[in-house]
Amino acid sequence: MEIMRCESLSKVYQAGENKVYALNQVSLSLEQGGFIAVTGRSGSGKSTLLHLLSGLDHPTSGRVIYQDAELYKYSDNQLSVLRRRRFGFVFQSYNLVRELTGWENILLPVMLDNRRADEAYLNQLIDLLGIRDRLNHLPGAMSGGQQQRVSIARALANKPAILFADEPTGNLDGKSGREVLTLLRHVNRELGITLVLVTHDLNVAEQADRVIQLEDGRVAHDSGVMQA
Amino acid sequence: MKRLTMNRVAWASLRHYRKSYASLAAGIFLAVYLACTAVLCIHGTLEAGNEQMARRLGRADTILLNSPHVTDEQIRSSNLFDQLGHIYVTASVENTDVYTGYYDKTANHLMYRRCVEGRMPEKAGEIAAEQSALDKLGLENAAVGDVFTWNMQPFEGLSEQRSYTLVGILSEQTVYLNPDRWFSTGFGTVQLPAILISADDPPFPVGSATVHRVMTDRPLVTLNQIQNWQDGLLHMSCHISRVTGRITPYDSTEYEMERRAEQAALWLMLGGALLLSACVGIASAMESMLDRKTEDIGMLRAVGATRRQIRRLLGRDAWLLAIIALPVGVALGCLTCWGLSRMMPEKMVFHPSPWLLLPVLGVSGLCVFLSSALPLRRASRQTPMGVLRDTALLRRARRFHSRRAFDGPQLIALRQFRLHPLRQAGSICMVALMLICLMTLCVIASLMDWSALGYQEAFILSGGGQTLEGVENDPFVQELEAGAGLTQSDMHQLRSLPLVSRVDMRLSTRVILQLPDDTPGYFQTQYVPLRLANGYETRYSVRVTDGGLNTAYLDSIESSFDLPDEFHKRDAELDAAKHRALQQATGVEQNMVPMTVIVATLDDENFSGNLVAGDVDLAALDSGREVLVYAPNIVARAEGDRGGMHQTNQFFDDEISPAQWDAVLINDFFSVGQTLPLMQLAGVQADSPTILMSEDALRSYYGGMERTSLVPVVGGILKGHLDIGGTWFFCPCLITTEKGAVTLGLRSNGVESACVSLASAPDVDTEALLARRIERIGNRHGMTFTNSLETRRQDRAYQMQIIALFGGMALLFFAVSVSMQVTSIARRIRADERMVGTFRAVGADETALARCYRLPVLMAAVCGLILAAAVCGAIRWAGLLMFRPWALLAALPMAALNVLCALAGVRGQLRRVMGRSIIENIREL
Repeated sequence: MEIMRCESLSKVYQAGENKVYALNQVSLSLEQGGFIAVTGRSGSGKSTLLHLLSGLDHPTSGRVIYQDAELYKYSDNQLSVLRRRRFGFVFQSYNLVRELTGWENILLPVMLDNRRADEAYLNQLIDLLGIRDRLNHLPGAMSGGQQQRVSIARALANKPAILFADEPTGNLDGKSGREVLTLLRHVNRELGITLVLVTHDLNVAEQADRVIQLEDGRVAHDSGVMQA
Repeated sequence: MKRLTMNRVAWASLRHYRKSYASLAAGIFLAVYLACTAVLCIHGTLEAGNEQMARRLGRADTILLNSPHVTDEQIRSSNLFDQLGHIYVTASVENTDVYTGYYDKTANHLMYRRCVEGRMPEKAGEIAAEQSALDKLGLENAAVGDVFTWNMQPFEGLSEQRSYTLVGILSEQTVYLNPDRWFSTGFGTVQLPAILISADDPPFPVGSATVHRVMTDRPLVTLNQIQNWQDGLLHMSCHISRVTGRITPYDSTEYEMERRAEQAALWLMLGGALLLSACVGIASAMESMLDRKTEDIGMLRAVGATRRQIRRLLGRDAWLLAIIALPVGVALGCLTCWGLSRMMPEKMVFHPSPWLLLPVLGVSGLCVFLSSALPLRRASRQTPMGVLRDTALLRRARRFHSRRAFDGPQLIALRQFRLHPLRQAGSICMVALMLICLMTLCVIASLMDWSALGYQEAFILSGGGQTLEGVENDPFVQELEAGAGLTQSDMHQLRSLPLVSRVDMRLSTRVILQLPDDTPGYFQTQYVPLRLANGYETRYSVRVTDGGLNTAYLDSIESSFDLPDEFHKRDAELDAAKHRALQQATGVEQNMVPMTVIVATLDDENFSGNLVAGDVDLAALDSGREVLVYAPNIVARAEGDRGGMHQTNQFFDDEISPAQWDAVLINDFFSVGQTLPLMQLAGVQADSPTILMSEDALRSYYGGMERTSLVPVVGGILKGHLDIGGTWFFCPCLITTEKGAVTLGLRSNGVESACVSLASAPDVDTEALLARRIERIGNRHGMTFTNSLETRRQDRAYQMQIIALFGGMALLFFAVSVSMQVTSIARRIRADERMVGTFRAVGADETALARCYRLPVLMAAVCGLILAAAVCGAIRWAGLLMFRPWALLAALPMAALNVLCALAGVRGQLRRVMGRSIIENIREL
C-alpha cells in the first residue's frame, strides 16, 4: 500500500546565472512499512529528496502527496503538526537541542503536541536504544553514537508513520554505525514504521527492501520499480 | 617583521568584525555624546543662572556702613574688593527715616541710581527723590519742579530749614531695604539716601555726613572671607542689580541658587539616566560581542592567555572605539548644547571651555570602563575547554528542571536566562527605570494642583503693623504708632483697585485678661530639667504667653513657690514688679495676663478643623458679643542641646506621644459661654518701660495709658494648627472680626497683612499695574509685597518641566528597553537559527518557538517591576518622595505594553527566520 508519493519533484538552486538542479523531475511512490534506502554519490540529491519528502524544505516544482493530500499545500502550522505527528527525522549531525537533556530532547515532539508521553513506549524505546544511562546528560556530554540514538528516540517518540534518516551512520565509527542501523532495521520491522534512509554506504543499502539510486538529481536506478 | 601588540590585535579584530562592532560603537559613541551634552548643559545652566542673577540682582557687592576707623587704604589692601565708592548721608528729612545724601563717581556707578523722570541734581538746592520717600513724607502728588522747605536734621548738631527743588524722581532702591530691616544701623533705621542732593550742597555747620562705602567683591572672594575680615564691622554683603538698582542681601540669592541647582540637578538626572542607558547598551553589546568571540577566547585560553590578558585584549576594542568616538561625540555634544542654548537662551548659555573636556573624558571613560568590566570579567573567567565545548556553562543551566510537565521552550528559556543573566540585566534595568520614571510622574502629577492657577489671594502685603522702633514692647500695653501698618484709607484704596474682589486683612493687638483668684494651671510656668552636653544641669521654662513674660509672677513671688534658679527668680521678680504696678495703676486686684487679639477677615470656612467647642458665629463676632479663643494644649520636649545652648520645642499634644512629654499645659480655663473680663491699655509712648524702671515709674507709665474695658463671651474654642491669613499661630490668643474689633472698641495699629483676591484672571498689563500699585501702597509702611500669581506661575512651570522630564525619560526608557529586548532576542534568534530549525523539524510551530523567547521578555517586565517597586519603596522609606501603592497599578499597564511591544518585535524576528526553510535554518555554517 502506498503511503507517500512524489511527482516531478524538482529543486533548483540559483548560483549566479547558472541553475543547479539538486533534484530533477523525480517521481516516486513509497510503500507503507518498507525500508527504502536512497543512495548516490555526494551531490546527487539524496538529502534534498529526503528533505522534500519530509516537508523540511520547499520544492521548486512538483508535488509530494501523503495519504492523498498534497504536502506543500498545507500551511506552515499544518505542516508542523504533520511533522510532529506523522514524520520522524534523524539528522546526520543529530541536531539535538543543546540546552535540553537527552530525556528532554526525546520528549520534545510529545510536548509540542500537547500530549502525555506514553512512558511505557518511551521506556521500551530507550531500552531498545540502550541510552538509559545517558538520559540526564546534556548533548555536549554525550558521544556521537549516543547523540544519534537520542535523536532516533526523539524521531520515534510520537510513533511516526515514516522515519526519515539522513546518513544516520555517517558521523559514527563502524561499530556504532552498525548498531544504529540494526536499531533502525528493528524499528522498521517491529513497529512497522516506514523507513526512508539516505546513505552512500552500500553495506547499509544492502539491508534495505528497496534501493533508489540517484545521479545528478535524477533516479538512476530503483530496485522497487524493477521488482514491481 | 612588525611586532604584535594588543592594539594590533584589537585593530585586527575591529576590522574583521566591523559590522558586529556597530552596536558596541553606537553605545560608546552615545556615552561620550551624552556625557559631553550633560556636562555642557549643567555648566551652561549654572552659568546662565549666574548671568541672569547678575542682571536681575547684580554682582556680589559689599556695603560698609559708617565705619570711620577703617581707612580706604585698609579696604584696598585687603585684596577682597575691586572698586571702592563713597556714599555720603547728610541728614534726616523732617525727622523721618528718609535721608538725603550724595555719591561719589564710583558709588554713583555701583549703586546704579537713575531717574525714572527728570534728571539728577547738578547744583546746590536741587534734589532727586524716590517716590516712596515722597510718599512717606506725605507728598504723594509731588511733581518735578516743585519746591519744598524741610526741616533737615543732620546726625550731629541742630536741625535747619532748607529749601529744595525737585528735579527728578529716582528709581526705587531704599524701599527694598525696609521690609526686612536688614540694612538698619544702631539707630534702627535705614541710612541710605532716598533723596539725592548735589555734592555742592553746603554742609551743615556742626558734624559731618555719615560715610558708607560700597565695594565690588573681587572674583572668587567668598562671603566667609569678607565676614572674617576685620571682625565687627558693619558691613553688608549684597547684590546691587545693574538694571533695576535693587539691593538684595545675599540671603535672597540663596533661593535663586537653589533654583539653579535644582535645574542643574534635573539635567544631572536626565544625563545620568541617559548615560545609564548608554552604559547598559555598551554592556549588552559587549556581552553579545564576547558571545560571538567565545571560540576565540577558548583558543586564546588554550594557547596560554591569562584572564587578565583576555580582559585587556577584549577591553582594548572598547577603548579604541571610545578614542574614535570622542571627537565626534564631543563635537555633536557641543552642537546639541549650542542648539539648546539657542532654544532657551534664558535657561542655558553655551560657554565651552577646554577645562570641561576633563569631566567629559572622566564621565565617558568611567561609563566605558564600568559597563564593559562585568562582561569582560565573565568572559575571562571561562575555562579553555569550557568555552570550546560549552559544557561547563550548560552544567550550570541544568539546575533548572521541568517541574510537573515537561515544557521544552520554557526550559530552554529558563536555562538561557541562567546562562546569560547579563543579557537580561540591561533590559531589567531599563524596564525598572521606565517604571520608576512613570511612577514618579504619577506621584508628582497627583501632588500637583491641576485646577486653574486661580486669582484668589493674588497679591499679599505682609510685615506691617509693628512699630518701627526696635525696642522691646511691654506685653501689657498696645503701643500705637502712626503709619505702622495699612490704614483704613489704604485698605479702601486696595479694595477700589480694578478687578479686586476682596481684600482679607489681619492685624493683632494686645489686651489684658483678668484671671480668677486661683491661677489656672494653663497660665502657670512650668520648668523642665535639662542636662546639657557639658554636664551642666539647667531648666527651661514652658509657658503659654508670647510676650516673653514669666507667668511665675502670678504665684506671688514672696510665697514658697519653688523657682529653679536665680535667673528664673529674677525674671519672675521683675515681672511681678510690673504686675504690681499694673494692679496699682488700674485698681484691679486680680491677677492679669497679657493676651493677643487677632483681628482678621473671617468666613464660615475658617477653623473648621480647629473648632473643638462652640461655633463660629460671624454675626455674634461682628457685634462684639463673642470672641473666639485659640487655646491649644501645648506640650514641650527638651531636645538638641549643644554645649550650653538648648532648644525648647513646643508641640501640640497630638504631635508627640505622651511618653515624650516633658511639660504639658492643658486648657483648664477657657470654656464656651464664659465671660472674659478684658482690659486694654493703649497709647503712644515715647519711652517704653525698661527693666531698670522703678515701680513708681511703671505705675505712672501704665496710668498714662488709655484704658478700655470689655467683656465678650467665648463663642468657640479652637485648637491644633491655626492658620490665619497665611500665618501660623502657636500661642493662645483671642480672635475676632474687623467689625467686632471696632464694636469692642479695641485700639490697634494698622493692618499687618492684606491679601488681595481678584474677581477674574488679570491680563499681563493689568497684573503689572495692580502689582505696581499694591507694592507702592505697601512701600509706604515698609511692607513686603508678594505677587502670588507670579510665584504660582513659576511653580507650575517648574512642575510642568519636571513632569515633561519624567514623561520624556519614561518614554525614552520604554523605547530603549523595547529595542534592547528586541535586538537582544533578534541576535539570539539568529544565533539559535539551528535550534529553531531543529524545533521546526520536530514539528514546532511559530507559537511554540515564540515561547522560547517569550520568557526573557516576561522576566524582564516582572523583574523590572519588582526592582522598580523596591527602589520606589526605598525612596519612600528615605522620605524623598511619597510613593503610594496605587502608583504600582499605574505602572502595570506600561509594563504590559512594554511586554506586548517586545513580543511583537520577537514575532517579527521569528517570522524572518521562519521565512527560510528548515534546511536553511539547520545548515551548518
